[in-house]
Amino acid sequence: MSLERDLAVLAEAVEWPETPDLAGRLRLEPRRRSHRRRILAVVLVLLAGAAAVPEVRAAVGRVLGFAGGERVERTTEPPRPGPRLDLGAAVTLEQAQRRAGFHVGVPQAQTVLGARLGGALGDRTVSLLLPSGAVLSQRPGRAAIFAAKQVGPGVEVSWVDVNGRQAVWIGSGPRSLVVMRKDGTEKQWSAAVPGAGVLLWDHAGVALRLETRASRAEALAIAESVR
Amino acid sequence: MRGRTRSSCDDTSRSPFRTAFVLTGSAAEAEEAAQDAFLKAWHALGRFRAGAPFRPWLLTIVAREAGTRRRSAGRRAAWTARAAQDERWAPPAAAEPTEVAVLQRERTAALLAALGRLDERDREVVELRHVLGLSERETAGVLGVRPGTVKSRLSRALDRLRADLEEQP
Repeated sequence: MSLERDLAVLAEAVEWPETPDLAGRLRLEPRRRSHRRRILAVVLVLLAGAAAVPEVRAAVGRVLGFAGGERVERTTEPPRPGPRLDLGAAVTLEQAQRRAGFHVGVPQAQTVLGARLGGALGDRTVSLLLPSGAVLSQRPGRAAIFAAKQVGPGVEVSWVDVNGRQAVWIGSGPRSLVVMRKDGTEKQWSAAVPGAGVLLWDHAGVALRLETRASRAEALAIAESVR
Repeated sequence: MRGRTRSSCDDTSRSPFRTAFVLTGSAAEAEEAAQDAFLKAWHALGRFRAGAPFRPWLLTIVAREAGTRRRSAGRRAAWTARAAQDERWAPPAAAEPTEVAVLQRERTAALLAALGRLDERDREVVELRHVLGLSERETAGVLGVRPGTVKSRLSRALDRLRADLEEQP
């Protein structure tokens, strides 16, 4: 038998260590230092990745866990609860659209009950209040604000498509949103809607997040109707 | 398309992780190297040429990340030794007569041991090409050499491996 044949047998039989989920578990304890460094790195790379070849960006983004301008991280312990996500000041939809400086999408077949501008996710973030307590927030994807979504053990995280674009659905359960501000400080927030799941996606350079107590399928239907 | 779920551990992560494992010899180092490589790749996406194959480009970045760790750690892939002694570890032709299977297992164990005795340059090129199954072009990117160099280095490495196996009783 040839050496090449033996090598082929070896290649079939060898046991590789299991490929880890690179989007990854956040290792707060032994690697606290590098977590901070990593977040800083991500702020820069998020901006850099925006102009890239879409399908390659999607592949890399999927491995890293980027969607809707947030990086999704699985934690080993349920994240600490924080204050409810600050959605900013009450404005009319027209005011929000004018001041945000980008096209604010509106879900069809949903009554917009109110709008908020600013808050934890940046001055140009517009949040639409929808029926059943759902909230649709939108912000320009290139805004220099970085958020990490920390998801506790056992909470559903699945990659889905919204109109053919990658999105991530996080079911209801312990999670928090760590927002890094421009001055480099971090603040941890809980969901804007208690007990809700969240759908994160991007469209036309805008990062969108929909918090809703509805099912994943209903959340996807609302997301796909945003115009 | 709606509602289709994906695993985040598909082949996009597997080959970078395994490449880093061959180069660093440690699953923990490989995970960090692959993770950092993806961050760097994201950063460098603007320089990625549309239409060019993605995997060789990504693996080159992985190799750079693994390289910094390898130099500090000075290890080699631990599976070479462990797998040889593992009882579950059997050749794929399990339906063959037992004596043939035993013989094949011995040959494979001897091969693993011989791989472990190769120097690092030889071992890496054999493992990347024949164990991990990277293409010549991908291997060249990972090792930072021309494809022709991969061919000649691999040929020499296989000669040494053959000679080593013949020497062993």
